[in-house]
Amino acid sequence: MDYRAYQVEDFLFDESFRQWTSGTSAQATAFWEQWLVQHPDRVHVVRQAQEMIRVLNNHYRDDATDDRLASELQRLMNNAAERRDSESVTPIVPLLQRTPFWRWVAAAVLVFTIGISGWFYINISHKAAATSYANLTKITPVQLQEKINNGAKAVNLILGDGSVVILQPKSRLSYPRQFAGANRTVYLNGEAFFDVVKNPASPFLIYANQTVTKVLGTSFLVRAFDGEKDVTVAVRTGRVSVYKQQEFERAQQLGIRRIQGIVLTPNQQMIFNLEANRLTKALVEKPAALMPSVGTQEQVFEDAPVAKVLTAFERTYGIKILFNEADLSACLVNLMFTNETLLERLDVVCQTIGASYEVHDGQIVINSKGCK
Amino acid sequence: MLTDYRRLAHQELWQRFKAGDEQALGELARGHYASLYNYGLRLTTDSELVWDTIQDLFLELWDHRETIGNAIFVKTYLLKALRYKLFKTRPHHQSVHLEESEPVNMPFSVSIEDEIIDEELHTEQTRLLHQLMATLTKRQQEVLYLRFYQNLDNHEIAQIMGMERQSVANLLYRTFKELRSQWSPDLLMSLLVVFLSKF
Repeated sequence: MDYRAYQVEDFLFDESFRQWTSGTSAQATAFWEQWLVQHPDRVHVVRQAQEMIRVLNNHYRDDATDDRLASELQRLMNNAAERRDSESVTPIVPLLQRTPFWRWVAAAVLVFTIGISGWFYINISHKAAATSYANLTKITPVQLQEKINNGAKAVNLILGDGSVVILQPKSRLSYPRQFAGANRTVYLNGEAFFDVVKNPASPFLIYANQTVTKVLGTSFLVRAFDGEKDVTVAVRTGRVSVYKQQEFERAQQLGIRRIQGIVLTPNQQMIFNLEANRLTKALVEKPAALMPSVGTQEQVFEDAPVAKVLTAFERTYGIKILFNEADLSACLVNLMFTNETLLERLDVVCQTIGASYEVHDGQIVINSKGCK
Repeated sequence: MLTDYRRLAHQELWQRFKAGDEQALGELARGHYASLYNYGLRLTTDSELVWDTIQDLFLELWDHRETIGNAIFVKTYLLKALRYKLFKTRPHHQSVHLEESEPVNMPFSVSIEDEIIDEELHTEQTRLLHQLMATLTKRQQEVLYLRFYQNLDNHEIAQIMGMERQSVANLLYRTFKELRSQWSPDLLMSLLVVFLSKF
């Protein structure tokens, strides 16, 4: 390498040079000190480069000590060894099979479950049977369609109102093709994350294992497997009310406006213990970490063809978007997204190119006359 | 820039890791932990969250070692994964603002005097650089950081930040244009040359 021709900027990206400047390599130090002696005419360039590296390094300095790094590495190795040891054993609690993504939920629920399972063994009462998922979906007057996730990965689906549901494995959700009436009601058995489109005129209700969760528009997680003793609802954004199904229905029949339930705000979770018939409220241990952030997918598009943007949405949200590629071929957009929901993003895209969209049968259809 | 030899070594390490070699996990982690932590601090001020997230990141990789792909650029892969995880865990109200007009204060903007121990470094240039950096958007700061501190090229930065290569180039260009308009001394000029020359 001919360092004689190097300018300040070239030195800046030379690893050996940087090592010398930061004093991390004796070898580099020896080399560069020798080199400087041989090339006295380059001293000023070298000094300038060194100064700049120092300034920038200082700017990017952090507080990680060797001790801290060592202890973090130790922690990692211990954890990894523990995992390896437990791999050979068949998991006793199916919760452990969850994806790591949901580990925090699992941890939270698991701790709770262990705590009470010492007390008594499951004996779901006859009351539970009447409010079971199978029964509820059978007796509802509205015609429902059902999504069952038997796979190993979470499945995304979009409901008639545009709300997005991430359905976890071994879970099922029943919902009407189009919501009609005063409420948007769905039935869940298992675990799902909801990103509900705001509509104060039509609350979104989730029936799940003797609980009813009511929201106007927000994102949150519901975990309610038939046969599990606990139902968990954890909130990421917005406000959510959770009721015992019994009380919710009685209040509705009697026309009572005020029902005793639990109101959850972001980073709070509710655990409903079915045996004790008690709702308890707690803080989410690791806020946000436990929930997928459909709404916080950061996306940047610069001079991008609209088709590409839509394809990116499809991938991000796992929802089919239908459009005519030929019509949209002349449409280029510059867009940045951070917190917007899928539908908000679609609004922006459609406004930009003068198109419209509709949610149809779990898919999004883009109507456009194209750009000129 | 990695030499072929080192790239091969990284590949081999990755393969051993995938095969369930605990030592390879240790080596991999040791080799990247510090720079992952440093990068994490560019994305959030919560250092404990960064530590935990890196821990989770490696454990998740370890759990899925048999099914994860062949990462050709291990460092890029890890930085990208960390970035993704941190964005995912970021509480709603703290989410990144991309509006170019809205500078976001980074951790380093707190009391520079306390931070700087080395008397020699306590120069007017340093102070100016800190000030200038604070006027950049998070995205601009990140691009700059990845370019300089992590020594990545535009293509790798594009992969990490989920952008087009050209967008990275544009963003870097814009960043320097902004800096240039505010400051013209030697330091900045040389900085400009450095980064522009890499397009």
